[in-house]
This record gives sequence, C-alpha cells and structure tokens, in this order.
Amino acid sequence: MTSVVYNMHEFLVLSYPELGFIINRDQIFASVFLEESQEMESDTRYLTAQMQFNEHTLPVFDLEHYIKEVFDCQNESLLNVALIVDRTIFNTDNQETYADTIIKQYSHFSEQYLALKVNVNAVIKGIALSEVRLIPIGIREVLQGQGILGCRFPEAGLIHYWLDFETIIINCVSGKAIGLNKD
Amino acid sequence: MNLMNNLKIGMRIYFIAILLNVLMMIIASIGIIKMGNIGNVLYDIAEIDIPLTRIITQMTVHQLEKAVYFERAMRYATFLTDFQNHTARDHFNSAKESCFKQGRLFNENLEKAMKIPEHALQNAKNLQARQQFKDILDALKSIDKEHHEVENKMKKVFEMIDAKKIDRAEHQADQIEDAEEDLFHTLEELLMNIEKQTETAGKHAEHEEAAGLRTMIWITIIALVLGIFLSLYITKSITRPLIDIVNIAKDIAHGELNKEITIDQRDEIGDLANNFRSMVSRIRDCVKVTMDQSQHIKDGDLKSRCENKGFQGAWKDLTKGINDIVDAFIEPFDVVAQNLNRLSRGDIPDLLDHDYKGDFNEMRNSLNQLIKVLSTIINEIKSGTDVLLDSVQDLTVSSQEISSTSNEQAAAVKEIVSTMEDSDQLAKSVAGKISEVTDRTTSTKDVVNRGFTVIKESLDKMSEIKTANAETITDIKSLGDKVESIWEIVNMINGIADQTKIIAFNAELEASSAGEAGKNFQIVASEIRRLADSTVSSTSEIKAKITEIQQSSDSLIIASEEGTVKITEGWELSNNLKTIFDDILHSADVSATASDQIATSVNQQASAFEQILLTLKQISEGIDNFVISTKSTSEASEKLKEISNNLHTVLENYLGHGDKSNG
Amino acid sequence: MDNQELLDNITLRAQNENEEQIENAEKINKYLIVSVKDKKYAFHADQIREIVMNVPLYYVPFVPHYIRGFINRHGEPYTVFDLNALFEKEQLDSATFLISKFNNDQIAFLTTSVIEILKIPESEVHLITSTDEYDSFFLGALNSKGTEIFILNLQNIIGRLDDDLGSV
Repeated sequence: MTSVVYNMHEFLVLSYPELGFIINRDQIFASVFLEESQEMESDTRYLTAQMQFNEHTLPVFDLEHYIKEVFDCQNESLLNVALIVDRTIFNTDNQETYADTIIKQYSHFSEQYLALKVNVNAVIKGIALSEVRLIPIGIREVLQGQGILGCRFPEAGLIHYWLDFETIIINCVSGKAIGLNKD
Repeated sequence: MNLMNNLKIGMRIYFIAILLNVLMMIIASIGIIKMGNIGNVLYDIAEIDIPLTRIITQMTVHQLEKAVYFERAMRYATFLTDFQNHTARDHFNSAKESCFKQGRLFNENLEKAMKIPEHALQNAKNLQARQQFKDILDALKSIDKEHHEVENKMKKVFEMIDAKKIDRAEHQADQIEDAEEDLFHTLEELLMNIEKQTETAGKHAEHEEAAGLRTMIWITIIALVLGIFLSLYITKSITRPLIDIVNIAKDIAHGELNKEITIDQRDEIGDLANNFRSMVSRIRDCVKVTMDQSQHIKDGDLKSRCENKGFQGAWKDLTKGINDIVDAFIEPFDVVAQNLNRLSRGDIPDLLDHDYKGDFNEMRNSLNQLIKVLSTIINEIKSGTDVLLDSVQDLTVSSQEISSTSNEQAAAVKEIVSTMEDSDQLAKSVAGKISEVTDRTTSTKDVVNRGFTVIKESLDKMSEIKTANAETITDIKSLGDKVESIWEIVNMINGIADQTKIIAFNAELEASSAGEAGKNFQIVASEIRRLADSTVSSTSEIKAKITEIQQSSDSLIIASEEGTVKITEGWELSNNLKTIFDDILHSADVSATASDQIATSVNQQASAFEQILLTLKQISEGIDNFVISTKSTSEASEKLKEISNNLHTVLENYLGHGDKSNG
Repeated sequence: MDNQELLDNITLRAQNENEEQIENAEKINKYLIVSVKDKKYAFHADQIREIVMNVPLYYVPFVPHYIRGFINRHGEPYTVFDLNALFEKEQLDSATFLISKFNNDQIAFLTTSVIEILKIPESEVHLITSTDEYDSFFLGALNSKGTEIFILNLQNIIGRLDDDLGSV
C-alpha cells in the first residue's frame, strides 16, 4: 500500500539492539510464529530447516544467522518468526535460478513459497520515502549486489538498513554471497 | 609329520622353498612344451601353407589367362583364311605367344610349388603331416600331367591352324577347353584342401594352447594350496611350542614351579625346551634348600646350614649367602648370651670391644651400656651405703648431744622473758612514731589529688585540640574535592574550546569555498579562531592556577597531618602523666593505709609478747619431752646402722668392673 | 610642486604599486593540516566541506578494512575512510571526521585531530614524481615549521576503493 498524499510506503521493520532493518512490505506474503520446524542439512548457505505452511513444505532460510554473521548483531530473544515470501514476485531470471537450484534439488519443497526465520518481532510501519537514503555511490554497487539497497537514520545513534530479500535469497542459493571484510 | 617336526627349522623352510620351486619349474616346462607345439603349427602355416596357397593361386591365374589367350588365338585363327588380313595374323601370333608364355609361367610356378611339399616331407614331424604333404605333392604332379596334356593338345591345335586345318583345330580346341576346365577344378580343389589343412592346423594350435593353459592353471592351484598348507603347518610347528614355553615361563615368574614342559622335539625348539626344563629344576632345588634352611632357623636350630655342593654359579652364591647370614647372626647372639649369663651370676663382665658390622654394633653398644649402667648403680649404692653408715653413726652422736643441749635451753628461756619485757617498751614508742607518719601520708594524698585534677583538665583540652585538628584536615580535604570539581568545569571549557576551534576551521573552509564573497566571512572565521585560541590559553592558565591551589592544599594537608601527629603525641604524654599521678595517688593511699596498719600491728605486737611468755613456758615443758624422744631416736639410729652394715655386705658380693680395674 | 601635483603623484604611485602587486601575486593555496595518529597530512581546503566530531560510526559489511562504516550528516550516509587503516593497516581510535566535497559521492575521512589551516604559495609545494603505489596517494609535500607534510591525493585514495571493490 502506498500513501500518495504523504509519499509514504509500508515497510516491515526488524529492530535489534544497535541497528535495524526495513524490508519492502510487498516482498512479504505473510508472517507467522514458527512453532515447529524440522532441521535439515543442505549445501545451500543459511538453508537449515523446513516447515509446514498451508499444506506446503517450505524451505526455511535462517535470516537471523545471516544478520549475525554479516552485521555482527546478536539477539537474545527466544522469539521465532517466519516471514513467508512468494517466489512469484521475483524477476524472471531469479525465478529460474531458484527453480534450477532449490526446486530441482528438493522436489518436496513448495514451488511458490519460501520462509525466512528471524528472532525479533516484525512490525509493519509506514515510512516516508524522503527518510530513506541510497548508499553512497562508491560502495553502492557492491552493497546492492549483496541485498543492501539503502538506509535511514530514525533517531540519533541508530541506523536501519533496507534489505532486499530477493537478492539475499538468490545469492544464497546460487553461492554468490561474498566473504565478509570484518576486523 | 613327526619326521617334519624332527627336522631343523631351517631345513623345513628350505623344504617348502624347494617344493615350490619344483612346482614352478613344472608349470614352466609345460608352458614351454605347449608353446613349442603351437610354434610348430604356426611355422607350418607360415612357411608351407601360405606360400603354397599363393603359388597355386598364381598358377590358377596363369591358367586362366592362358585359356583366355588360347580362345583369342582361336578367334583370330578364323580370320587367317583371308590372306590379306595381316592384322589377324599378327594378333593370332601375339595371342599364341602369350598363351605359350602363360604356360611357361604356370610350369615355373608349378616347379616352385612342388619344391615346398618335397622340402616339408623331409622335415615332417609326424605321420599325419607327412601324409598331408604327400597328398599335396601327388596333386601337384597330377596337375603337372594334366597341364602337359593340355599344352600338347594346344601345340597340335596351333600346328593344325598353321596347316590351315581350322575346322579340326576348332574341334580340338573344344576338347582343350574341357581339359582346361578340369585342370582349373583340380587347382581349385587343391587350394581348398590346403585351406582346410591350414584351418585344421590353426584349430589344433588353439586346442594346444587351451590345453596348456588349463594344465598350468591346475598346477598353479595345486602349488598354491600345497604351499599354504605347508606354510601353516610349519609355522604352527614353530609357534605352538614357543607359546607353550612362554606360558610356562610366565607361570614360573608368578611362582608356580610345579609346571612341566611336555615338548619332545629334536630341533632347536626341542633344545630350548630341554634347557628350560633343567633351568626350572635348578630353581626348584634352590628354593627347596632355602625353605629347609629357613624352617631350621624358625625351629631354633641355628647350627644347621644350606647344602650347596650340587649348585654352581649364582645358585651356589645364593645358598652360601644364606649360610653367611646365619653365621652373621649367630656370633653376636652367642656373645650376648654369655655376658648375660655372667650378669645373672653376679659377675659383671668387661665391655665388649669386638667390632661388628651394622646393627650388630648397636646391640654391642647397648650391652656395653647396660654393663656400664649396672656397674655405676652398684657402685653408687655401695658408696651410698657407706655414707648411710657414717650418717647413722653421726645421728647417734647427735642425739646424745641434743639431750645435753635441751638442758641448756631451759636456762636460756628465762633470759628470753626479761628480754621480752624490754621489747614491750620499745613497741609502744614505735606506735607513737607511726601515728605521725600516718598524718603526713594523708596530707600528701590531698596534694596528689589536686595535681590529678589539673592533669585531667589538661588532658580534656588536648582531646579538644585533637578533635579540632581532625575537623580542620577534613575541611581541607573537602576543599581539595571542590578543586577537583573545578577540573571538570575546566575540562568542559576545554571541550568547548575544541569545538570552537572546529567551528573556526569550518568557518574558514566555508570562507575559502565562497571565494571573493567569503572574504568578509574569513574575518569572522579568524576572530572565532582567535577566540578559540584565547579560550585554550585561558584554560591553560586556569589549569595552572588550579594545580597551584591543589599543591598548596596538599601541602597544607601534609602539615596538618604532621601537626596531628604531634598533638597525638602530646595527648599520649598527658595520658601517661595521668597514669603516673594515678599511681602516685594510689601509692599515697597505700602509704596511709600501711601506716595505720603498722600502728595496729605494733599494738598487736605488745599483746603478742604476753603470748610469747606463755609460750616459752610451754617450750620448757616441750624440751623435757624432747629429751625423752631423743633417747628413742638413738635406739632407732642403732637399728639403722645394723641394716646399713647388712646392705654393704650384700653389695660387696657384686664385683663391678670398676672394682676389678681398681683391684 | 603644489598640493594638487603632489596628490596626483602620490595617487599615480599607489596605482602603480597595486598593479605591480597584482602582476606579481602568485597563487596561494589553503591546506588543512591534520594529524592521523602521530603523522601529519595536508588536505586541499577546497576538497573539505566541514569538520565534525563525536558522531556515531555505523558498521557496514562487505567493504575493505579501511572503510570503517557510515556517519550520519543531515540524514545522509557518508562513507568513512580510515587513513591510518589504509596506510598503516591499523584502525584509528578517534572521532574527528572531515566531510569531503566530492559532488558525486559522500565520503568522510577519519583523523585524530585538526591542527591548523595554512596558506602556502604554490612554489613552496614539492610535487611527488614517484610511481610507487604508496606514493600515488600523495600529490606532493609542503614544509611547515621545519616538518615535511604530505598532501593527500583524494582522487587516487578513492580510486583505490574502486579497484578493491572491482576485484570482489
């Protein structure tokens, strides 16, 4: 939903102790509490479990682990939330890539839906687009290539990164996620 | 198999090796023979069948060409009636020549072909081969004959043609064609026979190869099985007895000497078993001898010794050692027993001076000590007895003297009474003096009380000074804390100065960016910079001042604390003074009390003198009684003297070693 | 000479002096002198927009070690270059940032402190001709109170980032 009058857009907000993440609401099909999931081993990075949703078996990507590894951000909460993503919103090339990797390797998984697991409560919030900033041009390409599209500063001492789930998931399944430059 | 067990281990291994080598040689021989047979067959095929086939094929070709040329000649012959046709004559002659040429070539090849079976016949290895080659030769001869017949007929035909008898020549030519047909079939048949022979030879070679291979495989399997069986058997025959010997050695190491080795072989293992048995037997004997000797010693038979005649080397040393141990114990025990015997008979022996080894010396030393102590005790008792005797004698004399003395004492008592009366007078005058002393002591006590009060007041003042000093120090320290808080403000001002400086830099940067338009702003930037610099320098001055204040405050605290120490010392001195005055007061009290007590005592003394007089009378009576008791004392001392004499007589019987040395 | 003549003479002399000054004036550049740990560097004042202190530094992933993260200036993220990490491979513990003036990018440089702004004639700046990789980060050197201070070549420094990201 977009509010034309105030140039607002709905984002899903994930809040962590020192930073946060915003995701385009249109990328999320649903959000459920993850009560039961079965762990699984796979060669795909961050694909660690599977769950049942509306009579489908969905692969569960551990976004929490991604956030911890990439941003060095830990959360002590025991909450388990699954964000359901509809694959049909991906662009054609990415849909093919997903089909050639996950669907081909795991035939019992749903062809349409997949899940991302987080340990914080996901809140939907309308954010003015004027608050969202692009990444400085020097490092924009590499960050966008890894699924970080922009950022905002909601208050002093806090930053929110705008994540693109599609890019993150496709990088995981195609093995394009690069190493981290941490100290 | 017993024979195998009686062979040396090396021989057994050689046996297996030789057996395996023989089997390998048999396999190799069979292989070589079979390969030889196959080689022969292949040789026949290469040297005989194939060349023969080639030559006969060539002959067939020549025969065919000859037939063709003959027919051509016959055709041209029909044109020979026309004398004008020179071309036909030329062609006829050419065909005739070619026909005869092919005939010659056929004969040459036939000669070559016949040589091959002739040569093969000489080198044939068996009857079957010989028969084959003979059949081939006969066939070739038959071909030769047929060919000659055909050639002759051809010649006749050509003669007829030359004689212009063409019709007759044509009729003859038909016969020749039939003959050539037969010849061709004969050649074909021969080729087929040779091919069959070659095929048969090839199959025979294959059969030989397969047979040879089967034979070699069987022999290899037999050799393998035999080798494994023999290896296992021989290994077992070596390891089983060794394991038995090892187990028995373990049992022996655990002390089980009754185990027997049942191995009976004539090889190196048998030698080992025999030597092991003799070793076990020797150990058993040595153990038995040792156990017997220890039983003798337990039973108290110290004279017996281990029998070591049948032993050698270390076993002999062991039994000899046990005997030496017994000897080493026996000698000192004998000496001790002898000396104790003498002691029991009252004969104190001399000190032992023999030098033993180790703990035996301890025993010698203990015995010597016993002898010494015993001698000393006896000597002391003897000398004590002598003294007793002397004392008793003295006691007797003394009691006599005492009785005479008591008479003298009665007279002395009277003198004491008069003396006592003088003493009474003296005591009264002492009592008067004591009263004066008591009065003096009381006035001293009052003075001391007043002094004590003054000291107490001065002590209270010292305490107040000490408390006031402590408060002063506390105030100075809180001043120091306030100075610390000023630091925070200074640091805040410093932070503001830094930010001001940054503002100045930013202003200057903006002024630079603005170019000409920013020139005036440059002035503002410079002023801000100056403000920041002056703030920084002022802050530095403030810091310096605060540092001075802090230093002064610190030195003040130090001085105050030193003053506190002095005050405390003064306070302690005052305390000590108070304590001393306490003591003086106490002493004055005590003196006053003592003076009273002395006066009381003197009065008591006077009454005591009266008591003394009464007592003296009682003493006089007592002296009389004393005389009586002195007599009985004399009688007792006589009896004591008699007892001492008896004791001395008994001790005389003990001749101590000291006595002996003194004669 | 009367007063008017004197006045005209003086006026002409002053004009001539001004013209001479203008002719002889040589270009003077302003340099911002900063310290990075115990070393001093110079920035062209034209290349620096402002100086900020004590603002939070936000971590950014997937970037080289000399990019410390973002700072927030008026709601815009600025990429922070740590010069000490770039030159000495050791991160700087400081909170003084120089916001640069690059029109096409938002970049800030982390330094220990800002010392002063100097005006240096162009003739007193020594250019660096070495083609060493380290020397390419410097345009030249100037002398201040007997100390040689290198002038940073921001273009090449930022170019290094492009090269490193291009190889990822």
